[in-house]
Amino acid sequence: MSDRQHYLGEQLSHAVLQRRQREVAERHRRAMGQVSELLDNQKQIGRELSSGLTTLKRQRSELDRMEQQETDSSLLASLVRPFTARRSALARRSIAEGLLRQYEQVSVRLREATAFSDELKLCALELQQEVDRLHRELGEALHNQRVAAERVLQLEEALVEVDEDASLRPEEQARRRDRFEFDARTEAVSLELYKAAAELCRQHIPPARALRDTVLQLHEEMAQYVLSATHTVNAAGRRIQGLGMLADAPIVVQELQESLDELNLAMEATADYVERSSHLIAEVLPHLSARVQAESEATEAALEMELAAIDRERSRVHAERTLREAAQDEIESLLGKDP
Amino acid sequence: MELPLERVGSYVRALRAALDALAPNEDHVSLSASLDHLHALDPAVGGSLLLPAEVSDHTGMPTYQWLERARSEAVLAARGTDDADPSDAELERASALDPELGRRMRDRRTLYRHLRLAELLPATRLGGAVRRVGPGGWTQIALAYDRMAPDGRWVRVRVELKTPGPPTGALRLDAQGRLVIDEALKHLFTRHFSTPLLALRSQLIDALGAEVLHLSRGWTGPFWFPGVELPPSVPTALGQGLLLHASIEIIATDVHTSKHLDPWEPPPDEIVPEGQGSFRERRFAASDERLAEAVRDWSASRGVRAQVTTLQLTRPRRL
Repeated sequence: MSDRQHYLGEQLSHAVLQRRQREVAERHRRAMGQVSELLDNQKQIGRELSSGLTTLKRQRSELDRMEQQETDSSLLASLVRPFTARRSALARRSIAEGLLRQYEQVSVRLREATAFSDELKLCALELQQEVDRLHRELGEALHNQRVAAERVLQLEEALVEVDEDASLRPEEQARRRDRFEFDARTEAVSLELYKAAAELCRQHIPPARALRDTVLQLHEEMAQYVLSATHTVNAAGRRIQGLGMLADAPIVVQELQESLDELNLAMEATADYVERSSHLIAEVLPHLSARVQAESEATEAALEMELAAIDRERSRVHAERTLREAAQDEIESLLGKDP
Repeated sequence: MELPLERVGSYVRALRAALDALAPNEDHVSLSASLDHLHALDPAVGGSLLLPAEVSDHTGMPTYQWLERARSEAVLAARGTDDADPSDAELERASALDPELGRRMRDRRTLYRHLRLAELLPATRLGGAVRRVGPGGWTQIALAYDRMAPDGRWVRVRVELKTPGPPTGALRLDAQGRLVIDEALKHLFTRHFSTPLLALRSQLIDALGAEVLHLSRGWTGPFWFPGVELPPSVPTALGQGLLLHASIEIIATDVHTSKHLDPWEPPPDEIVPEGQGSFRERRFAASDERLAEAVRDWSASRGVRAQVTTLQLTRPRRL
């Protein structure tokens, strides 16, 4: 057995496997917490946007009222105008002032969304790293499972050979038998452990992948929104700055309304985005969480039972099955199928 | 115009150096806020976070939307603390996953840390303070209205006024004797900040029922450099270096002899109120002595002896 294959990665024991299981669950819990935090941020952006939209609507109504007043050619309006024109200068509001305040709010929301988009990207990358780690560990576990299976079968053969070897003295035969039985049981436990490790990875890959896809989708949508809103907000900013000097002349009311429309468009796009992605997270996260929790508990219970019930015949059958499955996996891998 | 990335840093640093050389006084927007705000725009601080770097074609000053991006980031920066920012280890981890994202996160941390300590220029702001309260309740009040003007220049309107009795209406005092300014007065300044100074003075007297002792308007900018469209009356030589203007108009009781030292604007046809004088001046910061000489020649041709300072592209001092 000198040319035998070696195990990859960390030497596995029951304690190590339990630790790994805790680590995977902990990383998943942390990722869920992070995504939930992102969701809270997103909800806050949504609330602020909603208040911004209300203000925009109010300003739009004010502009409409002004335009109506300026274009009112009725007799009553003509009679009243000289008196209203003499109202105290303090009572009149500046449209430019209102627009600048509104632009400031929209601009803050946009910068916030930009920073948030980077947070989402980082979160998606970390989740991808987790998926990569699980795939790597699965690969190692499958390799090690195959190595353990081969060793179990080799030891079984060795045991048969020892039993059939008449040239050995009884003491030597007994010594070798003890040694091989001990090794066979050790490798049988390793086989179970690697099988459980592979199962652990298999179970966690789909939820980790789903979480990654959720965050990735959030990031893609947010990045797209930021791109289009930036363009609209910049256009509105140029218009607002350009019109500032004349902002209180009635002639520019129409153009100011267009600025408001541009800001409104940007904010509505964000509101739509927030609503869509909130729904996505609210649907996906609780389901994933419950699934990961249930599967972790089930894996641990199954492993306890397997380890308690190890015997030689069962190990041999299991080792043969493992090698068959490993061969099958290799074929599927060649065909490009996911583990 | 949008500055190419490689010119942004040098533009911002040149404008800072020019401001530092002119050292505008309290009749202009705050020098420290101007310097801090420009520093935030420097890619050496925030990388590409605040781009695109847009400047006015006509005045060469940063546009409102570029400046506003720094103000928006300051709002977000104020929500956090230096301690809560991503650590070096977190940034290294992010860089390992995606170098561009890591760089952006590092730039954001640097920018936030600057903005948490920085004073920034406001889009519009009206502030004030009580200077003195006399017998019968007359009150002397100082007001300062700052604005990023639509053409990109920065302007401050400063008013010293005296109410005949305790202030009422748009200006009043709270229980602790502090000045409370009604939002309506800010609207009035926003509507009239660029109207001729005497007309603005009349508006203020009508609106506040107070005596205006000092009214000044200080402009920072334009900032001419190659690429900025100069007004037709200006020799092209004046656009071949870096040239920052700072101009001031004052009508006040403490101006005893009226003077006009602005080569750009002709003396206005105005009748200054009795007991007050008017003062107008334009100063320049030029990038080199040859440009300074060209400015002096041009000013002399318009009958004014110009004040020109040459700027040093070194670390600006703080007043």
